[in-house]
Order: sequence, then structure tokens, then C-alpha cells
Amino acid sequence: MTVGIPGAGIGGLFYLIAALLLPFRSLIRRLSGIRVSWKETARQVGLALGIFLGIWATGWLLGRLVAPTLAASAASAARAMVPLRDANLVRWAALLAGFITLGAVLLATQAARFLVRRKIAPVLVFVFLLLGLGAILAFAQSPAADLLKKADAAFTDEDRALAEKLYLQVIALDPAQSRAYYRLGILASDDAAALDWFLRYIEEEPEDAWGWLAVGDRSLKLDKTVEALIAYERAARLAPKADDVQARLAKGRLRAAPAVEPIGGMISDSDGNRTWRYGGNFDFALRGGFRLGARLSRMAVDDGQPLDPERLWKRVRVPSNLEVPVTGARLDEAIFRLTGRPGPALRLDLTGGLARLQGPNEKAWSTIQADVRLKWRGSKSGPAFEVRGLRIPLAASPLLVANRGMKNELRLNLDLPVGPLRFRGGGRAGSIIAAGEQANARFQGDAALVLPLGWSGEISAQYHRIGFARASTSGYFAPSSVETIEAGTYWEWSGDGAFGASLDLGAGLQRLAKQNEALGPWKPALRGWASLSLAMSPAWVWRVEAEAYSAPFAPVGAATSADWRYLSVSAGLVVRIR
Amino acid sequence: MSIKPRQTELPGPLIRKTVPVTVIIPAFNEADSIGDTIRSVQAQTMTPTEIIVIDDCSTDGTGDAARACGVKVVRPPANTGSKAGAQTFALPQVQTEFTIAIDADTTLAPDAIEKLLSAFVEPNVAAACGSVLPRRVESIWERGRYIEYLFAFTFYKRVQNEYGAPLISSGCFSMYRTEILRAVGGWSTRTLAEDMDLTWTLYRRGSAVRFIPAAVCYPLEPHDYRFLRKQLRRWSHGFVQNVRLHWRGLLEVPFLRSAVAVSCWDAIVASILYLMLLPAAALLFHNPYILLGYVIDVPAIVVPVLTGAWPRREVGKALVSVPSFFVLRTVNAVFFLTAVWSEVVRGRTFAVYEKGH
Repeated sequence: MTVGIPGAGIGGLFYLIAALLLPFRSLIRRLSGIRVSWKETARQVGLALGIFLGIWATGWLLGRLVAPTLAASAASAARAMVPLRDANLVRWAALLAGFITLGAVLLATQAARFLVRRKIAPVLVFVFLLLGLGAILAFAQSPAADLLKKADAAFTDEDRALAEKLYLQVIALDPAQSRAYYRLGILASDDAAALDWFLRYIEEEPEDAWGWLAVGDRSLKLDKTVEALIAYERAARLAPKADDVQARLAKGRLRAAPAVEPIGGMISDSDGNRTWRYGGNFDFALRGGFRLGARLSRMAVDDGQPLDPERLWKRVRVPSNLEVPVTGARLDEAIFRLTGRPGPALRLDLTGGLARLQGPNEKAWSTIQADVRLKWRGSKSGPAFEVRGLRIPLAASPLLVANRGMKNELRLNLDLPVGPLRFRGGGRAGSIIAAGEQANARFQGDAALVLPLGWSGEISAQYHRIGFARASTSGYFAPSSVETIEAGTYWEWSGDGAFGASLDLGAGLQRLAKQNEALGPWKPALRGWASLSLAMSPAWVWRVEAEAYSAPFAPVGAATSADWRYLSVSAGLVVRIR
Repeated sequence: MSIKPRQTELPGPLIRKTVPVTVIIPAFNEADSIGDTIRSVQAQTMTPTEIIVIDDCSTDGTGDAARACGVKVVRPPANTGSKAGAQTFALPQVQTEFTIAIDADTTLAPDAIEKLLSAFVEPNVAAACGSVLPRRVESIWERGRYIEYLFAFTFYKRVQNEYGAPLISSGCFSMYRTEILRAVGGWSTRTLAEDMDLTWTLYRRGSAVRFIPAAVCYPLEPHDYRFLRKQLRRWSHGFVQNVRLHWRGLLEVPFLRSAVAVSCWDAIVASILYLMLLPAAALLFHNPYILLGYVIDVPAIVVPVLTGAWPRREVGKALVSVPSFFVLRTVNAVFFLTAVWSEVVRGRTFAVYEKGH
């Protein structure tokens, strides 16, 4: 017969503690000359430890699974804002509550005993003395308070390293010193660490609106827009009249709002291929810094050439007496996209969907396309690693569409700090499949030495080598080897959301070898990419992007011939639906 | 009298030892199971001096079935109304130093009596009990009970024993020092949990109770809700009645007073939280995930259960049965709250002994 609900309640805690105290009891009994079973003692202690670890692991697992959902439903977001990796549902606070309840029940038993029998357990007298001593010590001047003063002084003197060290010592001595958490958040060098400290701060000070503002700001920097909005809303409830709080709340709402973006653009190359692109993007924010979206777009490409059945190989069956002024093709895309940060150092960009292509005078066909990117970066200035796999249709010309050109590629990139410089290296291996041809292998190796110029710019020296296994008649240029040496520079500017601009320029020399031929002479190779975004109102942002190449071989999409020039311009209008 | 076993002249290759133990088996309409129970006692590595079946005015031929097994059968002039009544009726006929009480639907592991006897080496020990495991594990209730027993007899009861205070010497299989058993008046009918009443009475008179994990018995547990309901009503009301009866005396029994206080808290407050707070929070926050709180202590159950099941090679059976435990636990909580409400708040004592395994 068992009473109550075994496992639940304080009974479980009582027996866990009793089991963990068994070695002491056994030792006392043994010293008193009583026979004890050490095997049984060890067994019960092992069992208790196993149970405790199991409960802790379950709390951790459930925390990872349900903490985000609890965040949405709990009126108090303090617990909910705890980062997932810390979200153990079995909190020390819960254990403490269990201990206090158990202590109260045992105390009540002793009180009843005292009232009925006028007796009290000697061990309880010892416990009371211990508790009293603890209370005296707690109310006495804490060494943490002195340390906190020293840490504050170091913070005021802007001695960041000393201040950080002292604040860490403060919380080691007294985990309830909330100011130490806040200051550590300010001192943290990266946003994820800062967010963690501010979250600890609001656990201690859940009624401080500016603590919530700090959480919101850091969450926003980490693209955790939903969490940022929750924090700003909490801050606004606590300080409804503060202008900066309201401004931040408006900003948070805007960033977390769903967005639609009509897009349009044009691509033109030196072979006469011209592509018009139009469509729209839609996305909305998810918890954890993720955004989920979709893109519907159409690309119409023509090459300005009379239709040549021979050139289009055998797939295009055109009556010989038919005159067609230009050849055209179409690519429609329906794509889903998920972007976000699965962890503080990880960034995921997952795109996939359906592409529907239609070549000149033939039936449309569909294929799956995908682009998966996973990037890891330890810290802003630390090493980074990226792996990317993609499968895309080649639609640079009607000929390629007609020949159903598809590219599958795996890319690996590495970015390492080397003293004041950074080394970036990478490799790509892929295949291009086209109708009527054997699959063609494509390889690429990249190396660059980069000199960062502050946070906004860099200059670099780059070397690239590209090669194809064989020539192709499907509509893309496939030399056996392309070598490029280049000087590059990259710059970024932003004006607190009102505008943003980026510029990536490269100039160098390139030489290539066609299949079964020797390397040709070095020729100039130029490239450029620029983007600009302008906030026309808080909810309307206009974006434009342009890219251009002038080189014997351009490593973008599929160069259709040698000595290729290319220009692409696209524009979009992001509208956030509030 | 010594508890040292003496050899008998039993024929056959197996030489058994007879020990100064009388086994009493109260039975009311147990014709189907009494034979198995008697045979399991007769097949012990140490056989008792006498087996007495108390046929409590059965109407299904229980007495005849027992007689056919070659044991002594006694029949009170009228139905005693409870297991305790039947057992106490037979107590004057016990002539041996030790008395074992076994339920009529319970069988014993072959060495159960031998193992249990070892507890009485300590002169202060008045009662000893062993591990209990359901003989049949098929229905959801039997599976739930199987897990409950594996859990309790692997963890709780062992800890209680290490602190010298098993909460209860199980009524389905326990051994007593006959002299002390007589001194306390045998099994009392004043509560519905006569085994708990007897155990706590023994503690109050300064005697010791021991739990021997290796002595295993296998009762039949309620197969369906009809029988389970009767059993849980008896147990829950019996617990409340015993707490009300013994609480002053238990204050003098170290560890037991704390264990009983904690059990009372869990039976009442934790049951309320368990049955009401979690669903209320889930509704309030519109979040069904809060109901996962019901299983957050799964490891607290599963770790001891698997530790107990592993040497028995029943890990698979245990894992399959774990979900049933959570159902049984919820039903348990309802019955205990009902019992507290009835016995304490309304002051209505439930005194009808309903047979339900």
C-alpha cells in the first residue's frame, strides 16, 4: 500500500534527501558499534543521485521544448525570456520552494510533538541554531557589497577588464546583486553574452523598465524581434510615460511586423541575353530570431537571337518554315525561406521550393530547387565557418532553359583571424547537368587576405581558380581553367535605420584556358556590387541593388561565353504591415 | 524457542527444513486462488510447522479446496466481516513462535519464508515484511500497480528500512513474533487498514519492524476498476483512520513521524495541486504544455523502477507499464482526497470492509 501520489509532491524530495543522508547515518551507527550495510547505503545513494540527475535532465529537455510557448502565454515574461539553453523547468527556485515546504512540514511535526509531548528533537535545535547563524551572517555586512563598490569604481574609470572581473566576483559571492548583472551586460563584447546578462538582471529586477529595454535592444540586435517586442511591451507597461520606451516599443513592433516586398529587376549581358524579373516577398517573425517567408517571382529571359533549332540541340522541335524573331524562356519560382539563429553563434538560411521553367516553344517543366546555408561564427572578430549546399536551375539564357541546365553545388568557406588580418578560404564542388550532355563537374578554390578597416570596411588581396571537367554546348561557358588575382574592397554604412549602403568592388587580372587549350594572356577583370536602402517612412523601406562584371569569365550564375559583361539591377519596396 | 531451523525426515531428494512458523490464510470465497497460495507455502525452502486456512463462511467451496491441499481449515460460526477478524479468529490456534499472515490470493517465492525469517535474528523485531509484486500484469490497473510496487519496494521502502521504520508491514505477506502479536490483540478491526494499524501499534510499544527485499510475494491485484475502487477506498480511508488513531503515538517514532507527515501532505495538498492546479494553469494560460508538469517527475519513477526491473529481466515490461502508473496515480489522488473529505471534514467514518483483493 502506498499513500499519496508517489513521486510527486514533497515525498519525493523527502526520500531523496533521506537517501543522500544515509552515508552519514550509517557512519554514525557504525561508529556506535552497530552493523550497517554499506552496500545498501551506496545503492540508495546511487539511486537518489540517478533520480536527481534524471529529473534535472527532464526539466532541461522540457525547458527547451516548451519554454518558448510558456513565454507567449505567461503574463510575466521574466521566466520566458530566459535563453533556451538555460531554460530548465526544474529551477533552483522550485527546488528551494520544495525544501521550504518540506522544512515547514517537518517543523510542524516537531511543533506538534512539542505541544503534545513537550519534547523536541535535538537535531532540530541544532538546525535552528544553524539557521539563526545563517541569518546573522546574511544580515551582516556582505563582502560582496565592498567588492561591488570597487567594481563600480572601475566601471566609472572605464577600466573594463577590471570592472568585468570584479563584477563576476560579486555575483559569485552574492548572486542577488542585480547591478552586477546589468553592468556585465554593458561590458559584454558580444550581443548574445550581453543579452544573457540582461536576462539575469531582469530575473532579479523584473520591475525595472530599463532592464527590459536593454533586453529588447540586445534581442533586436540578434534579430530576435519577437522577444524584443515582448521586452519592449513589458517596459512600456512599467513606464508608460517614458518617451524612449514608447519609441523603442514602436521600433520593436515595426521590426516584428510581417513584411511584404514587391520586387522588380533587370539583367543584361554582353551576349544579348536580357532578363526581366518581378514578383514579391512575404515574411514574418518567429520566436528565436527566425523569420519565415515565401517568394513568388517570374523571370522572363530572351536572347534577341533568331531561333536556331541546331543550337538548341534536339529538345526544341521547330518547323523549319517557322520564323521566330527572338527566343524566350520563363522561370517561375514559388519558394519558402526560413532564416534565423538556431544558436548564438549559428545562422541558418534555408530556402526551398518549386521552379517551373518553360523554354522556347516547349512545354513547361518543374523542378525542386533549394539553398541551405549554415554559418557559424564564435564572435565578431573570431573564426567563422560556413557550409552551403544548393540546387538551382540555370536560367541565364533561353538556351540554358531549353536544355534544362541545373547546378548542384556544395560550398565550404572559412574565415580566420590572422593577427591584424583575416584569412578567407573556400572551396566549391559541383556538377552541371544539361539535357543531352554528360554531367559536367565544376570546381572552385578561393583564397583572400583581408585587412579590416574598423567595423565598416576592409581591403583584400584575392586569388580564385575555377575549372570545368569538359566543354559544353548547352549554353554555358566551361573553360578548363580560370585564374583571377584581384584587389578588393568592401564598405558598409548605416544611418540608424534611415538608410544603409554597401559597396563591394574588385579589380584585377584574369586568364583562362579553354578545354584542351593552354592558358591565355592575363586580361583585366572588373566587378562591382552595391546596395542601398532608404527608409521612406518607418514602415516603408526602398531597396535597390546592382551588380556588374566585366571579365573573360564571370563566376556568377552561368557565364554564357568568354569575355562576358554583365549588369543586374533590382529594386524592392519593403512594407511592414503594422 | 530458537528460530534455528531443524531438519525433518521428509522423503525425496530435497531435504526441507521445518521452522517454528504457522501460516494463517484468511479466505472468503477464494476457491480459485487458495490452492496456488497453499502450494506455494508448501513448496518453501523452509516449510512452516502448520498452515491454517480460515474459511470465513465462504459459499464457493474455499474450505474444501483448502482441505484438498492437506492443510488445517477452521471456520468461524459466522462471517467475521473483515480480513482482520478472520486472522484474529485463528490466532489462538497458533502454537509456534512465529506467525505468518498471507492473503488467499497471494503466492510466495520459494525462499520467501527463509528470507523473512532472517529478520528475527534481532530480538526486538516484532514484524517483518517482504517485497510485493503483482502476479498478473495485464490490465492498466495491474500495470500501474506493478510500477507502483517496483518503485516503492526499490526506493521508498528500502530507505524507510535503513532508517529503521518501514511505513507498513504489508498485510498480504508478513511474519510476526506470535507472543507480541497476541500481546497487542492481533489484528484490530477498528480501521480498514489492519496491517497499518498493527504496524504502527508495534512501533508505539517499542518494537521494531523490518523489510527484507529478497523475500518476495506475488498477490493478485485488481484487474478492473470495480475491484480497484474497493481496494483504494479501503486503503485511503484506512490511512486516514490510522493517522487519526495513532498520530500522537507516532510523534515518538523517529523518521516514521516525518514520513507520515510528508505522506499526509502529499495525500492532501499535493493531490489538490496535482488534480487542480496544473489543469487550471493550463486553462488560464491557454497552454496545454503546462500539463507536461504531470510527467516532469518521470525519472523519479523510472530510475527506481528500472533499477528494480533490471535484475528481474523485466525492463521491457516495466517501460510498457510506466504510462499506466500515471493513470493509477491520478485515480489514487482522487480517492485520497475523497477519503480526507469524508473522514476529516464531514466526520463520516467508512467502516464497511469491501473485499477487493
